[in-house]
Amino acid sequence: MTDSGRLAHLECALSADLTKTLGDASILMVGAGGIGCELLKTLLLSGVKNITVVDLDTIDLSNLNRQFLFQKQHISKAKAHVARESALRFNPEANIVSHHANIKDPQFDVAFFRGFTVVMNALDNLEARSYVNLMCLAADRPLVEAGTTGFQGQSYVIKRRKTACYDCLPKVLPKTYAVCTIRSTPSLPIHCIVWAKSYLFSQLFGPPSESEDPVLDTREDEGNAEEISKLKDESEALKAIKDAMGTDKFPRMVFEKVFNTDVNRLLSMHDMWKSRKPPTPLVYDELASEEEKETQTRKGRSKGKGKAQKNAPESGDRERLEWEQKVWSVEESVGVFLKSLRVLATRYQEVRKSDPESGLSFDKDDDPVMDFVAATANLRAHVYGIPQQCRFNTKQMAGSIIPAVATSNAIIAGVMVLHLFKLLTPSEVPLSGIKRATLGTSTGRGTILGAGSNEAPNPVCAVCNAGFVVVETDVEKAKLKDIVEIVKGSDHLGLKGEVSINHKNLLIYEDDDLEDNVDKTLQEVHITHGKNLQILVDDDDAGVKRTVYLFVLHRDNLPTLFTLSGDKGVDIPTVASRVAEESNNAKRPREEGLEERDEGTKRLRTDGGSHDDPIVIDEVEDTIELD
Amino acid sequence: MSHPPDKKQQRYDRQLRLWGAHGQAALESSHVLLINGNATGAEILKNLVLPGIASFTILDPSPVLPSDLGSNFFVDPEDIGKPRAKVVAERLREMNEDVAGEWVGESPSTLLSTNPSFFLRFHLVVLCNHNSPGPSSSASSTPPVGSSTPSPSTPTPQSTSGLLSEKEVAALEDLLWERNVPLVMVRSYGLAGMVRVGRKEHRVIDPHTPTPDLRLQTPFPALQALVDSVNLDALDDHARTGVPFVVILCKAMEKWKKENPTTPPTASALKKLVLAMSKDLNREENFVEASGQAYRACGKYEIPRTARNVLEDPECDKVGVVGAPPPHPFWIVARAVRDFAREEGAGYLPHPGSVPDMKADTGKYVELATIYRQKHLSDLASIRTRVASVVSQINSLPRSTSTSSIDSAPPPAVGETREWAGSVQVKDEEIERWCKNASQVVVKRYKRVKDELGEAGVEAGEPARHLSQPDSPFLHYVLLRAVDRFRDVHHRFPGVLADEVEPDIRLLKKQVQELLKGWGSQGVTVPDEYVHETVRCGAAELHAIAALIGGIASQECIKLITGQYVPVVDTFVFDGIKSVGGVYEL
Ligand SMILES: [Zn+2]
Repeated sequence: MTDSGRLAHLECALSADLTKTLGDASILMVGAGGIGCELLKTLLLSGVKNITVVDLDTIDLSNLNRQFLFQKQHISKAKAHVARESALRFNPEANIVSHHANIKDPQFDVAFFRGFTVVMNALDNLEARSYVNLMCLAADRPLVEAGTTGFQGQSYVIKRRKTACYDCLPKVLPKTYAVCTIRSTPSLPIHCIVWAKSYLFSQLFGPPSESEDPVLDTREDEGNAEEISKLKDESEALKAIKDAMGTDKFPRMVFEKVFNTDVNRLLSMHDMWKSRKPPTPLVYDELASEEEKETQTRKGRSKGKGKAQKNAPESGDRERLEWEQKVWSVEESVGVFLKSLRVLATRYQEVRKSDPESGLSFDKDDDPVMDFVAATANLRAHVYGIPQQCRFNTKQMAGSIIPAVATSNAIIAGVMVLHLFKLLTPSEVPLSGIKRATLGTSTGRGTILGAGSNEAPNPVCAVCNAGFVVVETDVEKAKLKDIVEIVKGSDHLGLKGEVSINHKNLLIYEDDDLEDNVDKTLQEVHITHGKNLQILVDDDDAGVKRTVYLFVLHRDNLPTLFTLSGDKGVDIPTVASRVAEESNNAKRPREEGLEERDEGTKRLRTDGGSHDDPIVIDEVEDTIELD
Repeated sequence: MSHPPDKKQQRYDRQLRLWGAHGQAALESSHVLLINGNATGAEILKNLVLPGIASFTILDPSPVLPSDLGSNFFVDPEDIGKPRAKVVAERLREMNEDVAGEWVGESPSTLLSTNPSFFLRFHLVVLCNHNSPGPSSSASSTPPVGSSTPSPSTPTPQSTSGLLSEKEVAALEDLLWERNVPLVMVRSYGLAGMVRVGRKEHRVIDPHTPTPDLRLQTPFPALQALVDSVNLDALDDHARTGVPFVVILCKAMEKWKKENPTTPPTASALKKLVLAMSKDLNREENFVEASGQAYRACGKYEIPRTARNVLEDPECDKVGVVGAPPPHPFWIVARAVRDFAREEGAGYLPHPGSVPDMKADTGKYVELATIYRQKHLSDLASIRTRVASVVSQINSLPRSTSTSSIDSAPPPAVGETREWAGSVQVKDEEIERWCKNASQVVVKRYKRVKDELGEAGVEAGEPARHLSQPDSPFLHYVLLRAVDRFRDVHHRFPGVLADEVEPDIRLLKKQVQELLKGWGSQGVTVPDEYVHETVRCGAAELHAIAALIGGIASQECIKLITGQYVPVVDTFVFDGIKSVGGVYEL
């Protein structure tokens, strides 16, 4: 089939000009998950020929209900590569480049982003979206943003200084819980689940260096300090029990400590229970099956003799599904608890053999881990007289699972490509004509796909109301004082006022402060290729402030010390100092979470969670140490 | 990893969270027919195969044409000339080995006249009555201009074979209507598209629109006892912060009634009273919460309108009547719920059993949750008894020779079991779901295309009203209908012949006018630029529109199959130029 034949219908329904522009365009697609699979297909069938796909995730069984470019034989392979291969099978003429990598890697620098006509996000988390947003602002490339949750979704276009950017609107942060609620006064199932997952699991099996889970609010106020110190005491005792890991008595020891000893100790604090229903400790001998008890006393594992307790169904889809969706009896929970403890203990010891600093991490799709969390949460709920949950519900709450289906991803990917048509229409469609599309759970007469107007930039947005400058330089030669010169020098940006330089919210230079750093090279302050500096210029005399994002590209053998591109000094927007102060807390959030949604999803959002589809972004990287 | 590769619940985990095991079971037992495997149709099936329907069948006599390559993801260049139904079915089957797929290469219009029972083998029928024509035909292959009835020697262009005429669509609709099989009609046409849902009677037990049921106006005895057990004045400061807002509001109502025996409170008056009852609003967050919920305690309780419509439906009256056809289980439970509300519930529906989260101490919250749960269970037991007695009464009636007026033949509606020839049964699970969602239930009766708008008594002004909105997406509905009539008359789509664009614009305008006249909507028109645009696109099926419209259509199919969420009522029209969608009840 010739190209012209394939494109005839496009030329007819769109226009020959637009069809050509689409064929010449180069598209960066960030994410090859639920939206990504759909988007890649729709782009290829819309006359787009040059596509680069970046995704660091691998394929999981739970992706296959919607990510149609993947099949069972692809499980555990790189999404980006498999998506490319599957799409090429259907359209061998396309030019698709795939990277199994993190979009935040230095190889994807401003120059890389500048190599594309349009960037399209098919991401699942706030942090990566924020990052791509910033890079598109820096590279001055339009960004088509999108997300889906269950039957809902949205897509809109971001264009520097023409529309609101991704961070113009504050995002809802994930809910955190006070330590005392989790530790001693739980009242809801979620409190027990957080305890099981973020406290007991990570204490027993987490890597030793694992920091406090951010979901626990450890700010020391309102008596929190006392709670935290108690929590520490208990952890010490737990560590002693950990030494028994691998022996037959380990599961019983953990059980008795957390469901009996600790509960009894809490009970002894009579004041606490004057106006509250006191908890009920669990007694091992009353609840564990005969088989379990034998295992604890005899050497070796006895198997299936006598009145064996029913184990979790291993196979048989229907049976397993039913087992996951019913609320277990206390005895069943005890059985699952003890069994999963044994499995996890063995695994923990294995991973520690190769690396003594490692441990297990929470994975909602890892059955023994999820069994342990579900059973633990239920036993704790039982102790406190809180309704117990089935494993299925516990998994949703513990794993911050966002429901996802093929339909909404297909719809939103279609909308994204319509946005692309408008962005690339030669006669330039005004941005007001590129609507913000919102997909709702239609109910009867309600709108299914709504069109709203695109928002204007937020004049106090800390991200887009800034200058974007790219410096190419040798980071082993260029010094911080050269950066100051770039900002102040009349040959360069020529900005007046006090300068402070930050990297990832860490101050590395300020006029009249940290001046020792001026003679350090960029390399010495860990500003290497692909990093960016946030430079604040406070012009007291004029009563204005400016923000400049400076993106560093390392180059060897440059004829001059540096070359600049991007905004000129006069292009850099100002904010009246007074206004800037007021909006200081409008900083962009770092945690993952969800955007505004209606009803149904609010509950989910409280635990953070991810949009379709998972791309795991590494935790905040290196912190700068100045010595 | 620890998981064996064959677990359905893992594969379907993310969607089970939308429609649960019940919805999944319905999907996994549903058989779907797609008429025409064009780009839009293939997209719809893709979105149904992935979540795991039982099986699909593609009915399509067309071979793969060059024009399919540009828009249908599931065909390759080497497939040209092969049966399209076969190619698309095979590719779709690769995506989910749990789904069976068949294809039938016959003409739907022939089947409709020779073997109509073929269409009754399915739980859902999707009609994609469109085929993208090939690249602009050269003059030599142009059929005689203006011939409204091509001579037998002029073969009908292949691009329209397999399509149903307006009359045939109406016949198909009637056929499915009688058996209550849903029909979803879908079009992607240039930059426009539409999805239309039709079904005689669609019942939704779980629309996923829960509202809390707290019984604040008239606390039932167990709740009243809990309220009485709390003495706000006797509690210490700490204990006061643990009192659930439900109790606070009941206390406030009692106080109000004591002080104002004859006038019920307004929401704002009650709110004020609650705030005044707090000793310290900074500490007593539960009182602040109570003030925000005060409106729930005011006014008279009424069963929500849609649920009331269901309970007052004539189908409810027919349950248990001698000589009436055996009722659908839905209506048996509806009748039991209605009688319950009238006879023992004092106007209330059975309690759903759930309580919203609230600021309260563990003990009191758990106690409250238990009370509502108990109430739910006792209401449920009562409904069960009522259903059982209605069922035994029906089964003891002399068997009517006629079957149910609705769903009168296999396949039974998905997710429901019934013995057709034998006795009426109601699954306990259905009674439970009913009781949990009684205030949300919806029954929707759709209209057939032939009954739409003016023809069935809807105000003749309706289309005019839609069309008077500037740039209303409804314009595209009119145009798509006009295009179909154009095709019925001229045996091709407008604008597909390069040298016929101008005449086609004229001919399409004529169809538009006739259509509007038929709706009794003289005096309104479709702006010229819309007619031009429709002709200019040459009936092309664009993949971006096919993906979007196909996505929406498959979402509606899932709602129809699972009986959860409310499907669109009844037509969604999308304008891809303006990026605006509209929903119209036609
Ligand atoms: Zn912004």
